[in-house]
Amino acid sequence: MTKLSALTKVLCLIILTSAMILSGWVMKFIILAFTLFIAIMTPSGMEKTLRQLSSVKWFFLFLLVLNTLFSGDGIFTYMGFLTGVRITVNCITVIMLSSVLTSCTGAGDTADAVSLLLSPLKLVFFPVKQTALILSLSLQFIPMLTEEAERIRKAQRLRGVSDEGKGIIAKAKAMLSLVIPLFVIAFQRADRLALAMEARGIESAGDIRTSKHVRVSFRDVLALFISLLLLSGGIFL
Amino acid sequence: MSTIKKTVIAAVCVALCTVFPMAFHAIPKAGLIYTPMHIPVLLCGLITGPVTGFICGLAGPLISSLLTGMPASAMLPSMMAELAVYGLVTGLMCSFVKFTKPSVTVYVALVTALIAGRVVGGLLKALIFSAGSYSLSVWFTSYFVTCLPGIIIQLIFVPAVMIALEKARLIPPLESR
Repeated sequence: MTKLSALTKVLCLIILTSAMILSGWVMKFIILAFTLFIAIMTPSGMEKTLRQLSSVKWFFLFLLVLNTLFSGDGIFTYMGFLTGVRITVNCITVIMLSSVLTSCTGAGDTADAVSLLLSPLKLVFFPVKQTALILSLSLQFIPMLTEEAERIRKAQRLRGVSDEGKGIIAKAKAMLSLVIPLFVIAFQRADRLALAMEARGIESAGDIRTSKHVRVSFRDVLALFISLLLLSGGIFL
Repeated sequence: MSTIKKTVIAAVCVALCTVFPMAFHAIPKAGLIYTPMHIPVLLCGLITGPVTGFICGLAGPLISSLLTGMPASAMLPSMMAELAVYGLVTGLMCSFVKFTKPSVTVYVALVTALIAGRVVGGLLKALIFSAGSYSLSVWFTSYFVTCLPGIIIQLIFVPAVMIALEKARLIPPLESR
């Protein structure tokens, strides 16, 4: 999995997600088993997958109960329960696939792959280069803003602002004491960066030159072939 | 405002879509109830316009999901669509529907965007993502009842942040845009 290109991994994620949505019960469990196999084969993939699944376990239970109660012809029906199970299995597989993707692909590579996939949208005048620039700049801002948020929270705590109060007003006050300083600092940095870019003659996203080479190997072709096979199995079986 | 400045501000708002949920994860269920990810997208649409607001709405939840797992992948497509509509509609309303008082312009844009985004999110869930298992009552409960504190917070915070940014001269005043 780690040796596949980011573009192949993103494409396989999209194809397998579509296959899950379109498949009947047999194909769903085949795709789920295949996903489990990939997760086990990926280093640290299984650990991250289990962590993500456990963080949304109550959401799955809520989904199952809601569908069992309201989805069928009456209240608390067998058809409703089956619908709940179908949706839960879909969600579990999609979460597993995406956590395997994120555990073995850098966020920058994934963002580049998404930009490459969006490039046909140039035909409908979608600003692809601007989107790619926004994605790459945002990845650079995240660690800096996370640090600033932590610094602001500690500073506000020293001033006696606590987020442990009960009730929406107390929580809103605590949020406001973090939100406004964080936005001001973030926009100050954005202002400085924009000035620096304008000083270098960069007036639009198209002025920035990038070189991205996509190398397709036999492994990429094999992965795409298996994904498309599962998709066609989901559609026709 | 130049194109490059709008792009950089949109990038900052996408980054804040990742940072805010992390900062509020200490508050239980803050994501579902207080919806911290919506605030940067709404601001991006109001400040930079419909195109960059739309891109911010698409990219924000995607990057957040890739890096932190919030929102979960199952909820990601509908959330991307909802937030993209927020960014697009706030930008369009701010550009084309203006009132004498800037605060009225902001509030009308916000309310319209919040309703439009929720309608689009609900439609997509009903037709594609949860087809056959979604109803009007589920839509109303999940988008208006559960998220009511978040709606109130957005209607208070977004104008407050805009005033703070205008006073710090980081964005031009709404009347001049």
